[in-house]
Amino acid sequence: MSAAPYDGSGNAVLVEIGTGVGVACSLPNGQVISSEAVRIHASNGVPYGLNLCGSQGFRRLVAKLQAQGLTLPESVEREFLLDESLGPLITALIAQENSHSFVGYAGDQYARYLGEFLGTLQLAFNAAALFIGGSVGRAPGFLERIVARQVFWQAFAKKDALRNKTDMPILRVDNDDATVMGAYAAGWQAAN
Amino acid sequence: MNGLGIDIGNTKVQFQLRDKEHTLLARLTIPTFYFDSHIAVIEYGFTWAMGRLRRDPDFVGIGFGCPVDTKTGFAKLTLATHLMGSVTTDQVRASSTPKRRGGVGPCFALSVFYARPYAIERCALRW
Repeated sequence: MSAAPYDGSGNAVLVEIGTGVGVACSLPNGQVISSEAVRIHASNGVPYGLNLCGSQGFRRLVAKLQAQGLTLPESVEREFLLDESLGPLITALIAQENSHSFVGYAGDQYARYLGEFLGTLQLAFNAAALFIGGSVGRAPGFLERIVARQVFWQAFAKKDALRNKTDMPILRVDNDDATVMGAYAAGWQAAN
Repeated sequence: MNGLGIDIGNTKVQFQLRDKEHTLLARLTIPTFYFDSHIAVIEYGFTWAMGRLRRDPDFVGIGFGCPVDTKTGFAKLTLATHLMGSVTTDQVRASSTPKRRGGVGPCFALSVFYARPYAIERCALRW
């Protein structure tokens, strides 16, 4: 896993992966640049946001792996049909390193999607740090398992990112209040 | 100086009211599907804050996942797919400035990012 430290300098990119996906970049002077990078198409021809988001990403992932002939775990098959909490179920299975072969393939595929996206963002914004938030990003243990995969870093390097596993800090935002506190802080800064 | 923070997400909208020391006074979370438009979200939050404070909040900060055109103040809230419209900074300002008291309160539409020092301090390195 990447243990690259972050000293707070340089551009920082935030990726919020929840029901949808959002991206913003913070410059060293505090200025924030918003981005619609989620609309950029990944190498599979699908916008990055749709590959990763909780609302559609996991359904697409399951459909893709099913089409490749993989057998789904019963729980995943049930949720796939019900369309209620497929994302939380799959993130939990990956976080728990469930031994079902589907889980391994699903983790690898999601790692490829996320790695390619983060590598693209690193290159586009010359990012010195990547912050990952949102309900999917915060799912306990999920991000660690994804980033620990070799395929994640291979995909990260796909677009010639300027950093790699040894010097790319990836930080998880655990606080669910962070976005609303950020909104408050922005309002406060504007008022002062 | 009391302020209101609003975070418009795809699943939920969060409101937080804080005092001049930034201490949390009140919070509220409502599913996004409850609202019909972005302005409805902002007006709801502003009305809620007024009810709690018994006066207008001194400022409002709004976070959401999309860019704002700095020339036109136009924003299309692409992240909250339920709210498929758009909003301009002027609309936001008109709906939430403390005009009832005759004052002029700043209100800005901003994209989601956290206050940077907060993020650096709180986000633990996990690997």
